[in-house]
Amino acid sequence: MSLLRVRDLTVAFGRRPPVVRGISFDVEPGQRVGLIGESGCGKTVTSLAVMGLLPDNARISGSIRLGDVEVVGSSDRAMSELRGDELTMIFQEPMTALDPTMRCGRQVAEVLRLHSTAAPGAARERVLVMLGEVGFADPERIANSFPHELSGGQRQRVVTAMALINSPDLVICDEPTTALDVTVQATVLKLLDRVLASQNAACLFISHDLAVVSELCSDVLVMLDGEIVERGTASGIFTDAQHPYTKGLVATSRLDLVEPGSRLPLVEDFYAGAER
Amino acid sequence: MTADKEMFAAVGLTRVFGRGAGRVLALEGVDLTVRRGERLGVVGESGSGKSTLIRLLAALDTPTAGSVSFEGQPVTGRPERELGFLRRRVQIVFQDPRASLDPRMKVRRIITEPLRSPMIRAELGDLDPDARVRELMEAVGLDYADADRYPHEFSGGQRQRIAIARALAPKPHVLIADEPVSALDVSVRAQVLNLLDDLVDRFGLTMIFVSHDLRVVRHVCSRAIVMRQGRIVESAPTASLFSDPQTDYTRALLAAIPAFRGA
Amino acid sequence: MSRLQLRLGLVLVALVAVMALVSVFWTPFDALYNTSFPRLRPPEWPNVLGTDRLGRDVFSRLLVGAQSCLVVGVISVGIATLLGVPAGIVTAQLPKAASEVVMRATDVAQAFPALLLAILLAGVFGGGTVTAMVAIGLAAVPQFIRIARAGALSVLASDYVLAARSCGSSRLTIARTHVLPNIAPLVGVQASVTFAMAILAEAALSYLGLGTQPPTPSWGSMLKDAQSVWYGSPLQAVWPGIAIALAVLGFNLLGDGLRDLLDPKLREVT
Repeated sequence: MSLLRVRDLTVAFGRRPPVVRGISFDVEPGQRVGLIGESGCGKTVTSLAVMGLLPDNARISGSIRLGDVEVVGSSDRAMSELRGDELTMIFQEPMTALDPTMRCGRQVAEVLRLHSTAAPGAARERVLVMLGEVGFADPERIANSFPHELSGGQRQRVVTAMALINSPDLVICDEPTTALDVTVQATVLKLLDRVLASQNAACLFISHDLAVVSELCSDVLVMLDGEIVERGTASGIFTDAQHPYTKGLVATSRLDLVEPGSRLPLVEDFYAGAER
Repeated sequence: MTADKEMFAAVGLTRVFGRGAGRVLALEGVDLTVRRGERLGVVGESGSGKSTLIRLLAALDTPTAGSVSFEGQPVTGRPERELGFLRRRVQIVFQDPRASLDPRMKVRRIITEPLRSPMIRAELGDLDPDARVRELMEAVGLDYADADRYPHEFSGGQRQRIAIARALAPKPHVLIADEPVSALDVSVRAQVLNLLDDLVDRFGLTMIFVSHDLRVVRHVCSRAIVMRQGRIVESAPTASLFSDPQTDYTRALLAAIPAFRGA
Repeated sequence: MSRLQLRLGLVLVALVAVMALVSVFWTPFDALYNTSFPRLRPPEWPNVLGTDRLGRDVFSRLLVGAQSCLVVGVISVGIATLLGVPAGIVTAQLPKAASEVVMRATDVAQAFPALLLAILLAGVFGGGTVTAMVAIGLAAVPQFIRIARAGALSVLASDYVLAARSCGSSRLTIARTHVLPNIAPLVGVQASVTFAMAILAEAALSYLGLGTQPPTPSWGSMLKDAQSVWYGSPLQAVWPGIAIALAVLGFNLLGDGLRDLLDPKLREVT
């Protein structure tokens, strides 16, 4: 049975036309799916819908099943039991995802304590182990630091530790490396790859950058104007894209294939007519 | 190399922020020459000093030590009112067009803002603003009919085009592009890069292109400097930067480029 | 919710404005000198709200009272804006140490109550509408400095200001073309909240006899007059009381509504 099963999901805000229009997809246990598209295509709204975190003025229809729980129409209370436990999220901006007034160790421990009955001492021990797992050589020091004392990459690793300490079934990553430096991005991606594998967690990875997605995901969903226009394995998308938009995405992200100084291919080049 | 070929010359450029315990050495003894017609890449991560460097070149900040000259004329230490020659000839395109365009100004006023500056008018004379807006909007691929709209009515890529049009308005000699595509979607990136490429050729501009992305720098620039912690760690033609990096840091940057698994 | 607030606020403010405007051209009876009616008459035709202790028509006086309420509000908010906003923008451009000194000075000034300042000024220059307006306006200046400075600081840190500087735009030009338009909404919110405060302060000053002077009616002085006849004719106090409450509510709702409308957090999620 699929871990996450989304069917005919439609989301609209207020009286405006829907931003997500009848999309369906599955995520199997342990599977890593990249959800790719440009800003405004509805990918973040999709991830918030799965988390049950859409604002009050959102109108949502269709079905989102996580294991045997239906997310659509589920109470916030029921969802908060899932969130942080079976279902976690890593956001783009690690600074806003962390409480500036709380030491990092306590923030990670908080997630643990909310969803288990571990004794404080044991919790502390698990937090330190988890911080070690996300690549900190000195977990003790990091645990005693406030978020502003850490670099962007370190913060994102703390957020990753928070997201993975309860061994979730599904981790949603919303552009987790966009705000980071390139070398830090590479480190965080490697780390995500490792911890997701070691916990056998599934992942829905949202990004506008096909190159980043290809580092982590086996499967790709391509989203355009609220619809999924193409889906397939990552390698299949690269070698044999069908939809013109996907072809354009692949071409624009392969800077390495273009002769320096020559004209870069555009997404528009792959549409036969002027219309998109 | 003769002086008339030098656009910018910076010697021993140092910038220190704050003092005491909070003292930050943002730039330390940077020497740099930018030649006329060159496309120079400035590569570095946050904290490398690349933003400080371009602010000093554009005389938006004053160095703690060292000096900058532009087209053979000294810049450092001169009062603002004597910098007209630089203000007109050096223009900047910023990283995020959501932040670099005043949300309460219409596109027409944004693009003509440089032309209203007394300093630039003294250099350039009065241009017909409406004709200039039309010319510039067409040059960057925007529809002149949209001149009386506000920035938020445009997509990210279009907004960056507006910022480019503004930078071109005073007919500059040097375009400093500060991470001009890193706030944009990958799919829009190519459009803006192609546009910059065209415009630099068409107007014979010198370009200083700041980026953290070596792939983009290789595509756009002929030569690049790699900066780290306020110093230039490597300076080379971009091709050899890729084929034969001289420092560990450059190698680390190259290794960080996402590889296309399964491609 | 915020739309509703805003609308209700606008309706109440418009009501006060219409009352004031109409009274300039027409009132049912002369509000100042027509004492031909029986004194302290309860509401009955043609005195729809009754008459006061000198036999003047209360409804007419209430209409004319709206004038002084608006005039005092506009002038005092005007004083506060014209002094506070430029001062705030200039403060934002000062070196850090100087800026801090100004801010501490506004802290001290803010701790000084408007009413006390008005009493002080009235003692020196004599009570009256002008003194009240100046006192209320001056007392509100520190708040405008704070708001304008905070707004200006964030605008001045933006890339579009850096772009303007890179074209050689002067500080004055930047203040005029970028800072002012971008802090205008903030100032608007502050102005409408201050307007409410001014109405209340004017009523209080008039009640103390330091504001609008007789025979010109103001809602505060009407309250004061009503005090002496409170046991016999409590309605005398009710009418100006309601008028003050509604006007203050109106401007406060307007301010809150504007604030919610401008709050980027509420607009962001789309």
